Amino acid sequence: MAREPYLVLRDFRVWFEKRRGFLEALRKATPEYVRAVDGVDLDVGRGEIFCLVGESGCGKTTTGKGILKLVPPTGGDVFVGVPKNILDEYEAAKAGRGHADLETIRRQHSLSWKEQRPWTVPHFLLLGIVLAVAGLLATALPAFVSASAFHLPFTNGWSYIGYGLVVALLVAYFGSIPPTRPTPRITVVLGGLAVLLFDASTYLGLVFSGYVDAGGLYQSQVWGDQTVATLGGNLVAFIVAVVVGRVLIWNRLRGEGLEGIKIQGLRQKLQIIFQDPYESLNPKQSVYDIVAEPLIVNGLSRNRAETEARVEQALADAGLRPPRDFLFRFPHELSGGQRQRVSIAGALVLDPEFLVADEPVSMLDVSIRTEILELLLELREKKGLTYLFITHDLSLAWVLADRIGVMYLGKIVEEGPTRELIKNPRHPYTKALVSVVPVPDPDRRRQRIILKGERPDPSDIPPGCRFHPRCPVAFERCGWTAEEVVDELKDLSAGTPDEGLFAGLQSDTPLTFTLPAASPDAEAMIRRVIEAKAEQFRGLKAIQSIERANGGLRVSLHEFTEPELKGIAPDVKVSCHLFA
Amino acid sequence: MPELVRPIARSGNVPLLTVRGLKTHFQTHEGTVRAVDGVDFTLGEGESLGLAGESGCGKTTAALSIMRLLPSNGKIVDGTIDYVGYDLAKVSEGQLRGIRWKHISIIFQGAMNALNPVKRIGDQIAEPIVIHDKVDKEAAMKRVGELLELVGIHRERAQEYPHEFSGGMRQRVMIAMALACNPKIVIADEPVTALDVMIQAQILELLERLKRELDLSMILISHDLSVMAETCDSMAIMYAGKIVERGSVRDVYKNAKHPYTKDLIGAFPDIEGPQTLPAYIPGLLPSLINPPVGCRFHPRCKYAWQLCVDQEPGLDPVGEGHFAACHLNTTTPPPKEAM
Repeated sequence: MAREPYLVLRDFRVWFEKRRGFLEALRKATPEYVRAVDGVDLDVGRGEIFCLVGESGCGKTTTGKGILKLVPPTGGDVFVGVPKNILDEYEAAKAGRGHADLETIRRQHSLSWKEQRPWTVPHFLLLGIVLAVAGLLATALPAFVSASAFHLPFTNGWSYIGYGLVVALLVAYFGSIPPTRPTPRITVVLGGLAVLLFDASTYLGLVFSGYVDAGGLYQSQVWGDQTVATLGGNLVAFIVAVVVGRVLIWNRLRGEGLEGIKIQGLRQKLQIIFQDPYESLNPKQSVYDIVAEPLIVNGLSRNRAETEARVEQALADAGLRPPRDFLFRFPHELSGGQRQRVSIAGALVLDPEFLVADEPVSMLDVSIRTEILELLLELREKKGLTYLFITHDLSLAWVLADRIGVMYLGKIVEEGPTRELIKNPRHPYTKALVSVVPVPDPDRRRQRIILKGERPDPSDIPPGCRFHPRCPVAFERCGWTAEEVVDELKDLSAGTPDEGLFAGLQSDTPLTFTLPAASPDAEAMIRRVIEAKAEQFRGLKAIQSIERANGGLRVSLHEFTEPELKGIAPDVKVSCHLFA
Repeated sequence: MPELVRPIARSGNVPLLTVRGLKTHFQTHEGTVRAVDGVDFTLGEGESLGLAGESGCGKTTAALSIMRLLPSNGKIVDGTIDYVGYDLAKVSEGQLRGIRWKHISIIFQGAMNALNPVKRIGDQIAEPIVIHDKVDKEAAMKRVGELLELVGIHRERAQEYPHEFSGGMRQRVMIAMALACNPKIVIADEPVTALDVMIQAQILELLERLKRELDLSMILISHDLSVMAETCDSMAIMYAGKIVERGSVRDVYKNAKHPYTKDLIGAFPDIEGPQTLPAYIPGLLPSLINPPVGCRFHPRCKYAWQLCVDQEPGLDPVGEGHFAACHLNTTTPPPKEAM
């Protein structure tokens, strides 16, 4: 590849856990996942337009969102603008060569890296126990030593404040363990927690040490004496927990690569344009509000004048000229094309390097689409932007992309330069997809390869090659299981005299099934069926052997593996067993 | 009791459906929206006509006018819709009821939302059969089974609910429903718009097969000209409530006589063509409340001159069965600087 790599994905996965009922969760230990993106490898060069195409539900949008962490990635690595030598080190470490530590590289550079630091119940229990004991000690101990201690507010005030400090430090320490960001809200929550624990534990201490009856706190003399000290303790607990908690969280995040702080900076470089400009703009905000919001959220503008100048610049860049005419309009006063330009301006205002364009023209009328596409190309010229362009329309990818990746069920099945991929598709799925693109010319009727059926459910991905059940050229090693072959035999025999032979038949293992009391000519029958129907019901090709066993007929299938995405020509990668 | 429409005799050369000067207007708060403003076309027996245009050009309104299924603020204000001697714009509601579904049916836009989510699809398809063919439920359900197999769905799935079907399968159910009473004409309103290319190809193939096997006449409404190139015999291009060009698919594509048609065809990327961005049409779609005077396309037209502002062009013949509404075909434009 001539271009310097900009965006690199390796084994990128985004899985969504299926929602389970309470009883289901008890019965089944492992959750089921919808594997929306399931191991995507991608290289996008700097300044390149990479088109990700595929049917709806193939995971192309989820990939785009996962890169920006708009949906949490499940695994794999995302590198953005990482120098070539580090990527080489990463590949070497992954292959078990080289001297660099894989985890260190991932931690420092991968956008999707995250440390497994779950907030667990033991954390809470430990915190509770420690605080309860400390509370007891702080209040009850002086009482045991000297019953008169509580009557000296000054000395005891200090002991309270000291105790508040202890509580605050503990809360701050434990509170910074979960992977949180140092937002104001989280630190205030820590402060509140510290105050709550401080009060609760001192109260418990007072009850235990016999100074108060439970519930009788406010009537007791003790409380009055201790008011000042308690307030002081509360104040110290709050302030210390807020300050120390925040510092600790920052500190932890600093040591942890991209998680948290760096990603905020990186987000400014990575922007997205959504599909539907009628849905993605807030109808209650003016164009100015919409475009200025990223500047304000990121604290990038010092004053209103600067914000306005940058917003106007972004609008002009997005082709809304003169920008002053548009600043105070609302989305409903704009046409579809103008709305999409506002979306683009909102992305441009932060001066990004990389744009995910998620079907940016599919909601627009054909006559104005090209205007928007030309704008995107012009921005690439002027600002050196890199695009991940997501579309279902191969003819659009043809005129726009430098390279195309075809996705099927969460994986890239073929990837290559645009001309090569369209003119010489290799994967059977790409071939079919290219063949069904309608051509605006009545004289050119093309040979269409129409696939049967629809894409399988991504929570139940077929084993082996995930395309094999629909593949017109699938063969024995593509991933056929006994279950599929049994289903095909049942379908084939429906309405024939052999129907009874296969009724109630089930697979023994994933690769074998047994016809129980096989009639003498069952074997011949199956062989005949294979002979006649294997081109149509391709699963029959997977039958490796038919033998008599325990009075039945044991049918075993070929073993299979999942094809890998590998280079088969310069710059072309295909994942298909035909190219093994 | 609704009047029964007499059985329609098949005749030779008279078109099945002739629409003349159709005007359908909507009353809104902003004013009168002239969604369809003088539209003529014909549909022959066994013909499939494509009605193409961008969003808001009035193509769906034109189709709904044929069935008189307009929303309450819409009204056919002028024109005739001649279906074998009956003017659908004027016939009584009772007579129309005899024609709807038995003679003309529609595949509504958006298969995702056009089915009732709380009724089994079998019952939904049976409903028009029971109402229009006046048969009992049992006979209707038998017909439902046949219809489902015709569109490639297993008979037993009649017991399922719409959410159990994928988008492509729901579109097949909609097609089965439209065919329920053996209509002569099927209007398909954006039948493949929300579907994936592969499913789109499956559905178009199905429509083509059904048209052939059942000898249907079809009006296919779509914004996607490349879909029409592959499925229609003739087509009409609409712009701002008017037909700007009409003719056989080959004439319209290969020998377009209206600048808008040329521009629109040019705006589609062609996977077999050059690897460059297609052209676009500058400007915005006009408002249908206050359409431009003269030729409605003149503000966006690169050839427009004074005549285009002063006078509205008529839909004139430019070839055999080929019509276009453009002054360029009847008048020679003045030299450039006079514009």
